[in-house]
Amino acid sequence: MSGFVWRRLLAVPPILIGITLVTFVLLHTVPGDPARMYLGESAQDPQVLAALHRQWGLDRPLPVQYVTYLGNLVHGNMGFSIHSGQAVAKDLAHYLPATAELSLVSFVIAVVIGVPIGVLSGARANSATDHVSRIGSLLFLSMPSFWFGLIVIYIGYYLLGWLPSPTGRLGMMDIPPPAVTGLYTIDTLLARDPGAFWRAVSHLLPPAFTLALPSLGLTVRLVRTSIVEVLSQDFVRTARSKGVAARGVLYRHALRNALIPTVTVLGVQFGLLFSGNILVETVFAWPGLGSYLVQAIEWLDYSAVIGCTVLIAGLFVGVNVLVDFTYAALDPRIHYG
Amino acid sequence: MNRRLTRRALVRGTTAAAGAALAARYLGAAPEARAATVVPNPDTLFYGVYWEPVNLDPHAISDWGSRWMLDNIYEPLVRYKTKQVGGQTLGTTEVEPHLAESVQVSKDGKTFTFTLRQGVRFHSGDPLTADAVKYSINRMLTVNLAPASLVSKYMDQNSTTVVDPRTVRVTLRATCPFFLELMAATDTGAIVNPKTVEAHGGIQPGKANDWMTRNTDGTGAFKWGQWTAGQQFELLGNDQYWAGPPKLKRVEFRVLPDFATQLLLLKRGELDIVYHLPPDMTTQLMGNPDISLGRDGGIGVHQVYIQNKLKPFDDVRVRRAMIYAIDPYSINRAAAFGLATVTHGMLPTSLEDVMPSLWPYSYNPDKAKALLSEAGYPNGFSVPIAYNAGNTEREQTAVLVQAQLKKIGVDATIQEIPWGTFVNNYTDGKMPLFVLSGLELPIVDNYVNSYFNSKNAGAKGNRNFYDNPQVDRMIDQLLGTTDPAARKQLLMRMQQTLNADAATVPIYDSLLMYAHRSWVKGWTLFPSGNWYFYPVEKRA
Repeated sequence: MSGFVWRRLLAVPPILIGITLVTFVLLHTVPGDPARMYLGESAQDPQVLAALHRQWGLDRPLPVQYVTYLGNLVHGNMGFSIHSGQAVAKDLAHYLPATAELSLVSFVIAVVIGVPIGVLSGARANSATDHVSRIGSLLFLSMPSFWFGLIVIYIGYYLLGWLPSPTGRLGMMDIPPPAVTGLYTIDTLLARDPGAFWRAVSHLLPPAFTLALPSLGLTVRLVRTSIVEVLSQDFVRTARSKGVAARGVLYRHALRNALIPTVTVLGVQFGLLFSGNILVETVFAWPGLGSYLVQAIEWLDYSAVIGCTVLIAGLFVGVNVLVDFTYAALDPRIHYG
Repeated sequence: MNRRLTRRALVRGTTAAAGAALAARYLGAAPEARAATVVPNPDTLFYGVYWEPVNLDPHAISDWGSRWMLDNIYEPLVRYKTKQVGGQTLGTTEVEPHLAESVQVSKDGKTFTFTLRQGVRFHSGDPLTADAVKYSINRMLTVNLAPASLVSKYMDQNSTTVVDPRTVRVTLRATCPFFLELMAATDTGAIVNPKTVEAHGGIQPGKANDWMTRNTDGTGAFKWGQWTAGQQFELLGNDQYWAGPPKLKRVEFRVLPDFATQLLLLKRGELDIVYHLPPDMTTQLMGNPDISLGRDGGIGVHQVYIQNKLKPFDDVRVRRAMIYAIDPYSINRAAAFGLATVTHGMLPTSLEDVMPSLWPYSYNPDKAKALLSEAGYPNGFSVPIAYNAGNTEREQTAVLVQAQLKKIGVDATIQEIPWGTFVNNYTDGKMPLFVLSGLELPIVDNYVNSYFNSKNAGAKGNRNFYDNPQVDRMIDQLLGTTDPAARKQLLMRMQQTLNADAATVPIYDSLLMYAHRSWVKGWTLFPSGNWYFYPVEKRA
């Protein structure tokens, strides 16, 4: 097992380096000049421009720039963001918790609601419950989530006044809690402020639910299909004929086997939740990585774009490694090593 | 959704334009918000924005978001006046003493003597002195970034002298008829506290001061408060302000990248004011008794730029044909819902000595066709027309221009280009036709010089690559002329020539547009685009 862990972990750095290379090349093929963006259009003195190019190393050949960037990255220096005026690492540390909080909660919603519905639906295949859940999950899967977000805001906030204002992580009058983890639900608890905690939760749930819907739909469908398939296999028939109760068959024998393909897909989904929520972030004014990345791309902010990409890719790769380990835990037949 | 605003990026839309457009259509059916009887949080103004300031060092900024914050934190010696029109307060393009109590200008227009107002203190408590003024001007010149770019050719480190603790004299190398207007700009004219700057790293040539990019010490009516990036920032009322404490205790800015969200919050009365909602959303607010709309023409022209050096636009007849073929009124109706002022000329209408009566063109597709045949294109030609991705106003304009050009046989293909590449392409003169608007200083000399001087082709503002030695000479002459009658004469001749040369297709004056709850009083629009919260209050 440990040999497998090491081999998996050793594969991570080359993947990340590959990602920096692809991002770097793609960014530099787009025509544009970050120094021009930085200076603003009124101050395009060629001398100042040249000075900035020298200062940022943009006058050097691309391979040299790339190697310099990698060297800095290894030392933890992700460069300077021209559109925020801050170190990229500092920006990422600021925006990541908002995205992490949103993605984690969405993921939990998708799994906690999706798996039981999928199991129920699969166990009672072709019943009324099954039909409702299948149609519902198809709807969730195919609906653009930002559009659903707009509807949630319009009805829940504007017409009914049940939901809090769509002003991001906090309401109009709220002040951010003292930063410890950057996750507001945890920081408000650490600050022993239950009122603020509930406000943070009430602002978190609408976007989290909106973001969770497609994953929720997918989870239901996957779990249902796997359960139906597993329930028709020989070992289930054996278990039944041995007199194992229906519940026991479903949860002890069928579900565990059905979860293996689900975990694979959920791993990918989790990665996508981190990177794919730009539109939901925009609609709910959620200050996360997605908004930051869009800004960075618009401003040809090389360091910020690569930094963001590396972070998201790193998370993605990390989740996939975790998924591989989960297999072993779920299925003792899978051996690594 | 761009959070850093440059002059020309000012009127941009969100990247989630698809979402916004969809929401606009869908929210069209929204009922009116319930009328409020009490003003909530009367001493706090909630402002919805989609950008953030980049940098708070006044001598190093180049974006509007930062400038709007600093308008309230740092102050110049002179500032733009207001005037009363029909019971309404409007900003003007004329200056009056501000931190200075009086200004004396020598006969040759080269020496300016400023007498400082007494009792002015920085937020840290230090008094304003003549030394601080000299220090600030010299710091601006040493840092030598955007705020210094216009004045640096008229002055250097030795231009400013301290006469006595209350008096500063500035002697220019050459006559600059708009020196006071330049010094009225919040960035160029900002007076900083030498003690604070020296205590935090001092002056660095060619660079912002790191501490000052995030911290402030000015003399203004507001201080900088808490800033949570991507989320919120605030201005706090300065109780010790020399003209008396401001009526608002706090101005809270909330970063809301989606205009549809801003609109709903405004209708619910949670936001007090928003800037430049897309016109289609603004029209939804018309007739709503709880909401007031403020609009004015800014110093800039929403226009279809023509790259004058690229074929077939190197032929003046083809350029004139473009102006005849494009109907600015229909574009105003479609892209700005009729809210803008159509520009009759090459200069924004509210600049000094602008004469719309000189404009020789009107919408006339037949004439356009005739001109094209004369130029050798009886069957028209194909050309791309570009705009920056996400800006719905420019997109609408490009679509209409495409349809109108089709009528004269010109086949235009629309190109939607991301902002960074767009800037790069127009500075390098790669796009034959593109739609862009902007906001400039209210100084006619500056406007004609950057837009029409051949020396400033490309990066420095002449994006049409317009080149007429006769106009270059007139601009040079204007830059040294202070006599109002002579300037008027010169500007008239210049406008006639510019009109005849048809360098660009003007559509309408850049639209400044605000929507605010009716309980917001005292909000004043300046053609220069400044934001001042000092006179603003909230009351029923």
